[in-house]
Order: sequence, then C-alpha cells, then structure tokens
Amino acid sequence: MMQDTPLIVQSDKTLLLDVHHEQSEACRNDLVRFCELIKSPEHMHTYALSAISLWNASSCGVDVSFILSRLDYWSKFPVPESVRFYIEDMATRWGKVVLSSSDDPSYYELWVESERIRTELLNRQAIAKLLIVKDESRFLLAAYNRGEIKLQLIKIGYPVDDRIPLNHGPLVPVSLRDTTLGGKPFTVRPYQKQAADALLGDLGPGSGFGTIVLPCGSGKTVVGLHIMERLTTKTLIVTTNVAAVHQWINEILDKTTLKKDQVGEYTGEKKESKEVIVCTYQVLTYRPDKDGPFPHLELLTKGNWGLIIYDEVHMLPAPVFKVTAELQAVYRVGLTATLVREDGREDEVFSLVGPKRFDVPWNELQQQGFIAEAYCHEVRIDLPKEQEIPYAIGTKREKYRIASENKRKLEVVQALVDRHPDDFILIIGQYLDQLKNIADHFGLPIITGSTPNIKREALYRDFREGRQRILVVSKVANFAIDLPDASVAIQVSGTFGSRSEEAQRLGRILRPKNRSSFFYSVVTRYSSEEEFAANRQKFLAEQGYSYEIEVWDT
Amino acid sequence: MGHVNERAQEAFKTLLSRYSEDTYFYLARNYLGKLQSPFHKPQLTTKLCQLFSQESMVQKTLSMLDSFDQVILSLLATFGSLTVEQITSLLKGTFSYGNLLRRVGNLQERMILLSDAGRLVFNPLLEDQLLQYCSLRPLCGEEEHHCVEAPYCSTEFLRGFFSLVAKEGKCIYHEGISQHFPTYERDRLKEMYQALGEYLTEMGVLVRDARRCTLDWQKAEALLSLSDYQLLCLLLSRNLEGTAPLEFANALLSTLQTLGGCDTTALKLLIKGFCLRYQVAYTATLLNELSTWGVLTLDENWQVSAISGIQERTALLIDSDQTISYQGNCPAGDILYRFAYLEVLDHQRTYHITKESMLGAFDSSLDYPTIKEYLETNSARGMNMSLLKQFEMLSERYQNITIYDGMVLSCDQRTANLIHNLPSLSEHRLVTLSPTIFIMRRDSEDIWRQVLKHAGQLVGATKSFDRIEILEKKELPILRDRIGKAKTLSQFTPLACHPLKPVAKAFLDESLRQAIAKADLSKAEREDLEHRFQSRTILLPSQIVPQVLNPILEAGGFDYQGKVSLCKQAAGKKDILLELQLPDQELIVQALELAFTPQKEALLKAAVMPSMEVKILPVSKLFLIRLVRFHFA
Repeated sequence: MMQDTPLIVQSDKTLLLDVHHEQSEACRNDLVRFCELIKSPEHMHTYALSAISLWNASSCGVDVSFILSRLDYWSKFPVPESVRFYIEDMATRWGKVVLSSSDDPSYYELWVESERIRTELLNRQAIAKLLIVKDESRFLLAAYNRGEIKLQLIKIGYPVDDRIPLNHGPLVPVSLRDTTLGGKPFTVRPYQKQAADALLGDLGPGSGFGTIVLPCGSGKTVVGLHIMERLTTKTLIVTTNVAAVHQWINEILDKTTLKKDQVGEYTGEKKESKEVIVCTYQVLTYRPDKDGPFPHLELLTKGNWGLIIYDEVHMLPAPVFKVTAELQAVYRVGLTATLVREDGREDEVFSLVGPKRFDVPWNELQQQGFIAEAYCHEVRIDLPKEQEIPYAIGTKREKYRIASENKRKLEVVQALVDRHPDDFILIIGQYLDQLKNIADHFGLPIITGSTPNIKREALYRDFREGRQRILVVSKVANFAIDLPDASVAIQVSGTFGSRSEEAQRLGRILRPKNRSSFFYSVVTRYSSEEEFAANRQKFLAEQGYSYEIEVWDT
Repeated sequence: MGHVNERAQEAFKTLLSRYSEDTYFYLARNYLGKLQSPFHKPQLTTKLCQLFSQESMVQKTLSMLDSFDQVILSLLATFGSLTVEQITSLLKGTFSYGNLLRRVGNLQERMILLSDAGRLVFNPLLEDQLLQYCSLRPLCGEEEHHCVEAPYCSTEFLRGFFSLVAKEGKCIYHEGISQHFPTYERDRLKEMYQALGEYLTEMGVLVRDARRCTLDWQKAEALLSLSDYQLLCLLLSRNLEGTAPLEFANALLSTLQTLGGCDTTALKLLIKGFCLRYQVAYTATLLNELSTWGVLTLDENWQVSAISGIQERTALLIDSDQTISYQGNCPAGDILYRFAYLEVLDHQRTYHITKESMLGAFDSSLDYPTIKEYLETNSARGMNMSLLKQFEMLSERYQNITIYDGMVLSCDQRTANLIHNLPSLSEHRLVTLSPTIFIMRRDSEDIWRQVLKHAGQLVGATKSFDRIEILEKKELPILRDRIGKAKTLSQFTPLACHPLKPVAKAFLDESLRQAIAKADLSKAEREDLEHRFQSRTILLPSQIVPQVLNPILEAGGFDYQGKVSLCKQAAGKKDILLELQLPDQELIVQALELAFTPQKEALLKAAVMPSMEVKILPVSKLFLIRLVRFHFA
C-alpha cells in the first residue's frame, strides 16, 4: 500500500512534500500546477488544494484526470476518496458558468451549464439583481458588473470562465535591455520568466491576471518589467510609498528601453500623465474629508490602462479593492513576498486581482544563490531594574511599549554594530523616540514618515553608493525599498506580532551579495515582546528560517 | 479408526451414559438394531462408540451433511455449546421455527450433536472432522467483504485526544476539533469524542471540576500502553455486564476482522451469539458502540475497519516552525503528546510545540532534560539547536517560580531537628524555608501532626480547616483490572470465512433404500425404516431390521383416530413436539394433555412454542399432525 514516493496526500486536502526525497523536485513541478504552497520549512513542505488553485489549473488546461494521475503517482498512500471527490467536484465546476461578449457592447452574456445552477443563481438576491434573463441558459449582465458577478459567484463556489478577452490598451513599445543603463549585464532569471509565463499564459481568455509570490530580494520588479515587455501597453504601477515610486521609475529607466518622458510619477508631490505611471496607494485613497469621494481613484478607472501592477499587493487598501472589481478588462498583476494579511482578507485580494499564479520556496532561491543566505538571531536582554515595576503594572499596550523601548537595546545595537564593522547596516524600529535616541547616540541619519522625500532619497542614495554605512529607519522602510548592499538588519522594535513586517524587514537584506546576511531582532526578556516576537517569526519559520537565541547580560 | 483418541471415546461414553432410557434405547436400537434383553448398557455404549469410531461410519455421516447442518454446526463452532432454545433464538430470523427444531433434532438423531446437560455439543468422536465443515460464511452470508481503511478510535487518536484536552482544559467537542481529525467523518467524530470523554471520566483518566478538565497522566499512559486492538476491546467492553466482557469484545472484534463486513442480521447474530458464549448481557446499544468507536461503518452493509496499529512510528521530522510530524504509531511511553499539541491526525501525524504546551508538560512533571533527550534521540535529521535553546530558556524561566500547596510550620530548633532528621516527618516536608520554618504537605496533615505528638511535641489542637479543595484522584480498581486484562489479551482465533471442506449435496445410499424395499418387513416396520432412512439415520445395512421405533409419525385428513393417537403419544413428553396444520396457520406445540368433551370430541391442550402460550385446540380442526422428536437427552 505504501510507495517510496515523496508526497503524502492528507484528508484535509493538504499535501506534504518530503523535500529530502530524491524525487521531490519533480513532484514539486507537478504540484505547482494545481496546488498552492502554504509553507516551506526545512524538511516538510505543505501544499494545499483549494477551489481557486483547482479552477486556476482548469483554466490553464490542467484537467482532473491529470491531477489525479499525478497524485496517484506521487502519493505514498492511496489518495483519500474525499480528496478525489473534492478535486472532481471543484475542478469540473470550471466552465459551467461562462461569461462572453454579446451583441450589445454595454452587456455581456452569462451562460450556465444546467438548470440547477440557473435556479441557484436566480434564488440568490445578490446575484439575481445583476442578471437579466435572456433564455433558459443565458443571462445578460451590464458590462460594469463584470467584477461584481465574479465575486458573487466565487462566493457560492462557481468560478466564472471569463472568455471576454482583456483589452490590450494603447500600444507602448518596450523591451528589456541586455545591459543596464548603469552598464551592468542584465538578463531575466529563469524563475522570473516562469512567473511571467504562469501569469500571461497564451494571453487568451482566463489568463493575464493574477498574483506572483516571490521572496523579498528575488527581483519581483524585474518580473513586472518582463510582463510590461510582453504586453507592450500603457501601464500603471501602484506601490507603497514615494521612495518605492522613485525606485520603480529608476528600475524602469535602467532596465528597459523606455525613456524619461514616457515614465511619470503620480504622488502627493507630483502628478504627471505619461504612458507609464507609478503611483502610491496613499494617493489613490486620499480624500479631503472622511466621507467624501476619492479624487485620485479616477487615475485607476479612467486612465485607459492596458496593464496595472499592484506592488506589495498584500497591502492593497479597501477602497482600491472596490475599484479593482471594476477593472476586470485590464491585465493586472499582484506582486508580493508575504501572502499574509493580518486582517485575513487574502482571499478577497486574490479574487479581485487574480489567483496566485506562481510561488517558489524561499530556501530554494537561497540555495540557488538568487537571494542571500541569511542568519536570524533573537537577542534577549533584561529590562533595566527601574523599568520592572512600571512594566509590571502597565496595561498590555504600555507593557509592549516599555519592553520595546528598553534602553538596554542601545548597548546591544552598539555591540552588534561593532560585530559587523564592514557591513552595511539598517537599524529598524517602530517607535520614533527610540529610533531618534539611537540615531542621536551614534550620530546616525534617520528616516521616518516625516522625513521629506528629497532627504529620504538622498539618504538612500548615500547608503546605496557606500557613503553612509548605517541607517536608522522607521517602518517606512519596511516595504519596497531596495538597498542592495545592506547585509545586516537590527530590529529594535516592531508592530506587535506582524508576520509580514518581520519577513519584509528581513527582505531588506536578502539581495544576493558576496557575503551572508544577518538579521537581529532585539527583544526584552521575560516580557510580552517575547511572545509578539514569536508570532512575528512564524512566517519566516514556515519558510525554513530559524532564529538562534542569544541571551545577553548587558 | 486409530486417530480417535481415548479421551474422545471417554467423553462420548460419558455423554451417552447421561441420556434418559427412552432416548438412549431409541438411539441404540436405531444404530445397533434389535437389542437383546437383558440390556447391558456399558456394552451397548461401547458398541456405539466403536461404531462411530469406524472410518467408514464417520465418512458416511460426514457425507450426509448438508448446508443447513453446516449452519447449525458453524453456530456451535463459533459460539460454543448452546441449548436448542438458544439455537432457535439465534437463527429465528433466517429459518422457520419448526424447521429449526426438526433439523436440530435430526442432528441429534444422527448423533452428530450430543446433549451435555441440556446444551448441544459436537459428538466428541467426530468433532475434529466436523470442525472442518464449519466456517463463518454460513452464518454471515456468502458475500465477500474486505476490511476497509477507515478511521477508528486508535491509540494515536487517543494521544491526539489527550493532547487536545490538555490544550483546551476541557473535553467538549466543537467544530474546531474536526480540523484535527480530517479523516474522521464529523458526526462519527463527535460521537467518539463525547463517548471517550465520558468513559475516560468514569475511569478517572480525565478529572473534571466545574471549570476545567485535567488529565491523570499516569492513567493516560496506562491506556496508551495498549495496542489498538486491545484498546478497542476495552472500549467495547465499557458498558457490558457479565463474566467476561473483554473476552466477548475480543471474540467479536476478531471475528469481524476476519469477515471484513456483513449485514445487520449477521452482525446481530454475532453479537448475540458471543453474548451467550461469554455470558454477557445483550444490549441493543452494542451495535451503536461498534459504530461509535469506528469498528464498523454502515454503507449498505456494515464495513469493518482494518485494525492494524502495528506500523512503528517513523523518526520525527522537526521543522523550524516547531511542527513535529511522523507516520505510524508511537510506542508505549512516547511522550510527544505531552509537550506538543495535536495539529492534524492523518497519514502524517503533526504536532506543534508552543509555549503553552511546554508549560503544560512542565506542570505535569515532565522535565526539560527528558524532553530534550526525547527530541534528540527521535529526530530524523538532527535536532535544530535554536529550537532546543528556546525550550531550554522556557524551562529555566518556568523554574524561576515554584508554588507550593502546603502549610507553613514554624517551630523551635528542637522540633526543627526532628523534622530534618526523622524520616517519618521529613517525608511530609515540601521545602525548608529557613532552618526552623518549613512548608509541610497539606494532604498529610493528620499524619505529621500525629508523628509530632508522638515525638512529645505540643501541637496545637485546632486543625487547619481552611483547606483548598483538592481534586480527588479516583482510584478505580476496575480500571486497573480491565487495563491489566486488556494488556494481556491475545487475539481470539475465529473460524475462517470459508470451511476447509465444503459440504457436497447430501446423497442417500440407494442400495440401502433397495435393501429396505426388499427386506421382509411389516408395513409399519417398513414405513418406520423408510422414515429413518430419509432422516439420514440409516447408514448401514445392519440397521435394517424389523422393528418400529416411531410407531406413528404423521396423521391427517379424515384419520381422526390417528390424530388423536399422536396427540396421546406426545402428551406430557418434553422431548416430543407436535407440528400442527390449522386452516390459517402452522403451529409447533408441546402437547400438555388430551381431553374429551361430553360429545366425545378430542381437545388438545398445548403450549405454543416458543412463547409457551397455552391453547385449547379441537383435534378435528387440525388438518395434519406431525410428531417431531426434538430433544435427545
């Protein structure tokens, strides 16, 4: 009954891959076609079958018999009947509800395969109100409800096979350079190409939208650029902050044939109109008063974009969700390293932007040298005596703050900086007073939310160009900031138990370089910070990182 | 027949010697022919013994077995000796009552079955050969079944259960529980979880108060030292009353494992049969119990879960996210479930270590060095040192505070010396706070007070009544006893599904029939011999002699006198029954007495079997009366 194969298919629809098995790589290549990677620690990787992963597979032509045959082939134990049933049930739902063009351009046609589905649709008010009955198996749907009907139908377990081709948008010729403007040779890495292929497919119906999950430092921007090259169309890129906007623009100019006059910025400071625009989520969701409209959201809806790239898509704010539902005719790409939202709304993001199309274990890219080898340490220190009583009587929030701002962390930072005399170091924290203290103590520059963009850019540039070895940064540097030479990060405080923040901060030092990277998390011993730290580390632990604990008597 | 051993011959003779004169001579005359008086019973018995020890006689007897015989023989082979009433009761759903009585009586006439104090047993001279014709299929249906891979209440399930109880501090089923046991169907899991909670509470393995539920780890360990099979036997025997509930469960479980599946009729037959064999009171809930513990699943027929539990646990895979997983079954004494919480119980069993799980383990007196050694010894790919460091620090931190539940004793130096040096006192000391201040055990206050008094100390007369309520650990000798018995339980060997020898179509020896036809016999003698020949009790030419053993066997129609005569013959005899055909029904009765009305009409007072309801029946209304000899003893 038991085969010597690397996979175990569990009844809860998770698939466990023994990564030490000699055939694990071949098995993984099959799994990624119809499963989602859930976690990838050092020994046993967990994949999961989900409705979305199966529909996604079906939409790419991966049929039930293929899935079952591969599972039968790779599975150590017989595949549970319940899992077989689930696969057959879910995967065959694809194609039972089809959306296509109609004679009237303001309406689409929704076809349902059976009377049962038709009745179910008509019995649900939220769906029925969107539909006009055409005949026994067809409905008409107002074009602007294309996203909404997909959302509603996914909720009841029916994916829409959207056969309306995406709009190509105005042509903007672009190609990637062989040598960057900076004079470095440049090629798209194999996994970056695979990611773009997975998303674009044959550019036919059902492809051209989705999310790509790649580790920090592995070059998600290049995947975006490669997709731009493949689509050659007017493009909007939405990212997390102005520094990231500038970084994207620099990357586009450095690595593609686009010229400065073709690439613009749309931020609080500058609002340009170009063929390729990079903007922030903040500017899109800005509104002068709490109940008023979002004046800049029109950039998304009325820009006639052929492609929208959502950088750090896990940060997608709620107002953009809604608009994204209306942008179903546009090619769209979500990029992220951490498929976790602390609010648990991952599913909504992925049903609007598109399902996960590509994912790769962090440790695999590390082994291949595409991201730096990183060592994580948790340094634990005691609270100073005078803080013990305030800590003991404080509220939960106060406790966390006291522990986070433990003055002894300064001594630790000093020692760690001394430990790495030749490294480029980021000192990252949550609390501005604490960061200012550190900056003052060491005479270091500091970047926070209130630092003017020009100054920020200058400091990042100094760091990148080697004139500044140590930077103190607040959470503004958590995401999307590319500092290729940073090899040490010292985290002195964080946003409670945020797993994505921890991973993103580690990501700041993962650009491949000729030295190992070190991530230090400084935590107050015997405090609530320890517990939050443990939670923060969960995502990375699931990627195979383990923290070495050091207890310091400062 | 050389292989018939003396013990079997002795047993045969003993059984026969206990028969009533009527029965004895009926059988002796049938098989030995006319008997010369004076009768010498020991000689006759020896002759019968010799006859049934002859190979030709044995083969002839066996060659006449048919499929109905096989059912009854298989029943006895499975459930041991049974009374006629028990046999008819067990098979009543499958065969008519009258038919059963006739066939059981016939097996006795043929001396295949003998009576032993009212219970039917195999003829010791034929037993070994008869067993070769016995199997489970005649009892449980001919359809082939195989055990299925279905989840049941295994020791691995129990480990997971304990781990979850420790985690949640309660043993109440909720929807979240099903995520831990994805192979278990939800309703079944709920039932199993609740039943386990109740049973383990009864056993004192779970200790509940108003707020929480804790585990008696020692008892939990004792349960986990059982194999899956033994555990199921223990669980199945839970509500059974009788002399050998565990043995009952053993026999039933083992037989079901052999069968692989059966229908409800067969299942009830097995349950009732083993209840009789092991003197366990039958309860209708037993069928539910089998389903609750996952032994059976209903899918048109009952499917039996394959009870394996023999695959040894693989080495542990310990990942940096603090999950620990393995395949197979943990050996007894494995401690993983005590310091890690169950995540998923499936092919791959996954546990997760958390701060709470470790603290829980420390609370239950599992120390860090033990955990460390366990992890280092059992890890498949070396132990992650960072994880060990984390656990070590947690342990150190845990030890920073110790809470004693005791009583402070402050005393003078002289008393302190006694407490330090007198073993009968020092064993009640929890800790020494200072040379003259101690924390003494609360639960043994009476004892150490007495010792102090005895040593000549003046001890305050008022006891501490302000006691903290301590949850009393139940000591249940029944639990210890049952676990002990379950642990030594070796698997019952049931009959095979198929017999070693199939029964052929029973044939009658035509040469004997012709011999009867040619013999110089009166009509009555011929009819009687014909009847016995048909009943397969005439096997040898030497039996064809002019004599009448059953004067009249059947009377009907206008033969009123014949019917009256049969009723008279049967009245008051417990070994003879009458089969009566009335206009609208057929009855099997025991004739009690025959009476006549003033108009001379015969009335039969009879007890209708098996209810024994007494009825008065006019003989003239009976179409047919047939005499059935059903009880030979």
